[in-house]
Amino acid sequence: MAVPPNTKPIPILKLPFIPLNYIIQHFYPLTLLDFSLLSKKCRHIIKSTNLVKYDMGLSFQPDEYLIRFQRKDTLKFFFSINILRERNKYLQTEMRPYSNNGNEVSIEFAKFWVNYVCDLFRTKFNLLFLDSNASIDQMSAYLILNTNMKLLQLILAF
Amino acid sequence: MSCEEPTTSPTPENNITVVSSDGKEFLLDLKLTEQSETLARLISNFEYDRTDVKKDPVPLGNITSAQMQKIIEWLQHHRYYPKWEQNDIHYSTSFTFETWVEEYLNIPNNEMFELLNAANYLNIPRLFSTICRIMASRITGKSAEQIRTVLNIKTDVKNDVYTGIPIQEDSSSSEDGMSEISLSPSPPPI
Repeated sequence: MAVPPNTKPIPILKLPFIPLNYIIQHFYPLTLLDFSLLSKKCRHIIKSTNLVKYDMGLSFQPDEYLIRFQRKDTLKFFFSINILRERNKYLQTEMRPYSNNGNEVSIEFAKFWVNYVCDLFRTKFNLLFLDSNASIDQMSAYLILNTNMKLLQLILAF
Repeated sequence: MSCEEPTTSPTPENNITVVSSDGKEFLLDLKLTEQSETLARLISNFEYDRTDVKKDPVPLGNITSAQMQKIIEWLQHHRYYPKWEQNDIHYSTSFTFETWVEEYLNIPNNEMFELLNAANYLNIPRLFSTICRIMASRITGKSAEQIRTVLNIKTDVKNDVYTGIPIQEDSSSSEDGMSEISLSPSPPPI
C-alpha cells in the first residue's frame, strides 16, 4: 500500500467503541498482545472485546510454542517462549523462561504468561501438550493453573 | 471488484440537499444515499423518495464540507456496487485493497480518523469497514513500541496488576497532537 502523506499518530483510543472494536478485531493476535502491553486502558479494551474463539493450550513440547491457539487439530497461532520473553519488560518482570538446569521450561514463567493471556482473552486453557520425557512439574502444570483451566485434554508427542 | 456504470442523468426529483457543519450545501442523488443507512432511513422516514413531498435540506452537523466531498467521491465510485455484506471479521497478517481505494485513502492519519467518524455517523458500512481495515493494516507487524508511536498511546500503568511493581510512565509520547483533530466540528454560524 502507498505510504500515507504524513505519519501523524492515529488517536485510536479517541474513537467511539464500535469503530475501535472493529479495528481491533482485525489485529493479528501478536498485535493484540503487544497492544495490551501499552497501557492499562489498552488491556481493558482488549479484554472487553470478544476476540479469541479458539482452544487454548499450554505446550512443553520442543517447538517452544508455549501458548498455542488451536481449532481442532490445527494450530492457528502461538506465542512462543521467545515472543513472551521479549515482552517480559513490559510487565516489569525478569522471570526466566527456563529452569535452573537450562533445559526445561520454567513452570513459573508458563504460569505467569498463561494467567496473563487467559485474563486478556477471557479464556481458559484446555489443552496440555507434553512430550514423552516431560518432567513431573510439567505433567502437573494443570494443578498450578487450575483457576485458568477448563476440561483438560492431554496431548502427548512421542 | 468493478461495476459498469449505466448512463443515467439525475433529475431534480431524485436529489436531496445535505448541509455540512460549515454550512455548505451538497446535492445528493437518492441512489447514492442508499449506501448510507443513516440517510436512507431519514429519506424513508420523511418520504423524500416521493416526488410530491417537499424536501428540506438535511443538516449534517458532524460532517465538514471537506469530509462530505470525500464521502460523495466514495459514494459515486461505489454507486453501482452490490449492497455491502459484512463477512465474519478475522484477524489478518496481510491486507489487500483495490488500487482506487489505496489512492482514495492515501490521506493523512488525522483526515482518515475524521473520515472514519463521518462514515460511522452516516453508517456507510463499506467505507467504515475499509477504513478500519486500513487502520489495522498500519499497525499489523509492528512492535509494541512502534504501535505506541503510531497510535500515540502513553502508559497509564502505575503498578502492574500482575507483579505489583511500579512501571515508569512513558514521557516520550504525548496526546497533544490529538487536540488538532476535531471530533465534533463547531456548527455553522447562524
